[in-house]
Amino acid sequence: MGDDHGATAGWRPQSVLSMAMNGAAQIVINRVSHVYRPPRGREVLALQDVSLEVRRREFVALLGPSGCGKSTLLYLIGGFLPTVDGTIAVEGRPVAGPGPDRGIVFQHFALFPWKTVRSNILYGLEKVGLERAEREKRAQAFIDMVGLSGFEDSYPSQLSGGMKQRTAIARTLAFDPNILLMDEPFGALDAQTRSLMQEELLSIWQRSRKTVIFVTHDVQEAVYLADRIAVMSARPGHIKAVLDNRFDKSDPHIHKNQVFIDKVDEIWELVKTEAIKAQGERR
Amino acid sequence: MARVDLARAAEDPADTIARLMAPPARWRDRLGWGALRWVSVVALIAAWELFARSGAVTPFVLPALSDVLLRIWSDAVFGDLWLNTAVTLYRALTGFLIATVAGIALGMAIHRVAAIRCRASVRSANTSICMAL
Amino acid sequence: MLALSRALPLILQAVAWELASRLELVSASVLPSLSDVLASWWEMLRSGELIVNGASSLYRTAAGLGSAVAFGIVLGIAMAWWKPINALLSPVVEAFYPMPKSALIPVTVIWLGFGDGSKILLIFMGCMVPVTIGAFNGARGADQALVWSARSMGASRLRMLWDVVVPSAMPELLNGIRTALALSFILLVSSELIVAREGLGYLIGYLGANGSYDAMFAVVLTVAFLGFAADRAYQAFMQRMLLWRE
Repeated sequence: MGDDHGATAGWRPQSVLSMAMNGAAQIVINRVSHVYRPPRGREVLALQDVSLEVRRREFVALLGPSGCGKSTLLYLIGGFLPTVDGTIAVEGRPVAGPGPDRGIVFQHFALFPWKTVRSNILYGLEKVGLERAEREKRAQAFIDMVGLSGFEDSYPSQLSGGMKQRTAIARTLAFDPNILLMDEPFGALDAQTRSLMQEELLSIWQRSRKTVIFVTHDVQEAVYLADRIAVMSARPGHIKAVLDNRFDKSDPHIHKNQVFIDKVDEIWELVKTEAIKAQGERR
Repeated sequence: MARVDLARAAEDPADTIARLMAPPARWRDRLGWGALRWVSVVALIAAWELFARSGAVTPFVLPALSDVLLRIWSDAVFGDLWLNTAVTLYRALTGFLIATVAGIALGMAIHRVAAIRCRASVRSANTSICMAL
Repeated sequence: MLALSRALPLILQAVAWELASRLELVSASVLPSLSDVLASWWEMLRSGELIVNGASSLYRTAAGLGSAVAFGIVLGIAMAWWKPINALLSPVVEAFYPMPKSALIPVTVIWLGFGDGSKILLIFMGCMVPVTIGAFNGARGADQALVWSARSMGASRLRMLWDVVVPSAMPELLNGIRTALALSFILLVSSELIVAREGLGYLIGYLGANGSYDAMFAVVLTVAFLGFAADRAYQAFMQRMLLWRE
């Protein structure tokens, strides 16, 4: 994408100041609005005046009811949609398009159906610039890491949902992006697989310590995974509240832990009103 | 606030791709693309007319579009355009109708037979029987 | 066993045909007996008449279809990928699509004469349409998430075309080509029937006009078989290309 739409109304003094003060901010979203213009039908204001900062190696959850624009915000950060109103900066530079510093994982896996598991992961490695042998080794390492050894030559149509998502995650991790954007990645999985995947993601993150922005509508998932939770309002979305979510998560039965339960309740109260609003709007 | 669209419509892939190529400048661009459709039609018509009249080819090879249209009109008014059109349409539509009815009936019959013959897959049974006929 | 049960209808039909002729249920001029037809088929094969004309026909089909596929794929994908090209060309394609190409037979003859050229042009024009439409629809159906994933992995726009759009378009494109394959035979025969000096279609017309009905039927069967065989071979090819779909 060219610079045509990346540069907008310049930097506001506020954000520059806050960035200078908070030197560890990796992603700065400043007063972003987004209008969605479908080719047929009327325009929709998806996001309104969204501001958020994400620090390096943080795990941030974007939590909100369906249709609140959280995925749209994710796509804007990823550079898949042009930022026209407001600014988004990653490492100080405005987002000008998709890039290998921001990897994305989708809800419906987005695997190349005509490629095997191995080829899918190798695709992510193509642009990294390694030698053939090195690429194969790395791909195999990631296949093993996500627990898909033995399925390297299977096609996605032969895999279960959980395995497909693991392939997608491996593919995104393979080219080592600094930032991981995840759009309700476990939404298409059954409940058991989902909780297993949540555990695995947490352990992968703790090992690799990337910045993760995780979109979800599931409060428990957000509380389980994230350092900070940004609660979004119903459409047009803006950040309703940002809560710190760091507490001791070492309890193996975390879901029964009182701190956990209280956190979930607290946040659910915030989300509930928005969810009701969203329900009222939908047909 | 204007009433918002309720369905979270996924963006058409072609439009996404197009947007990645050249971000639209809103309504002006859309008007532009619409006009382009007419440009090609008009250009084609003009090209035909000009090329035919240029003398590069004889009227036998490519008569001018205006002459062709004139001839259509004169055939319609003075000639037997209507008669020939009617005959052709009759043959085409009758054949089509028979084929449609027979085809639907045949397809349903094959499906029932193949459903009973649970061995072969329905599609391969279809193909072989259809090919045989 | 399965193969036999599949061939059974054909065998029954062949028997019925032979009986109908032998028992004089139909006159020999309307439907010559199967044995006579097969005999003249063999005779034409030995004399080389079938081979020469068959080769000519197949060459024309291959040339016309091949160029239609190449051109149609490029056109279809270009139209799906670049909005201006779509806006420019879609009215032309849409106007061309419902037109029966056999109506253009006299035009092709005026332009290119009685030889190969007119047939190849006709087949090209006719077969290009389903291929273009297949490529177009297939490319438009490319999953947005796939496109974005490829972009985030560093694929340039052109690479994205090759890595994502073309493979995504394959199923619909291959179906479009299958339609074009069947269409090519239809256009070939109808064109050769009217305006040719050689070829299987020409043979059918010539033999029919001469009253050699058994030879005519033999050629008709040959054409039918060629079409069937081509489609079957193509289906096998399609299966191979779409192995990942299981």
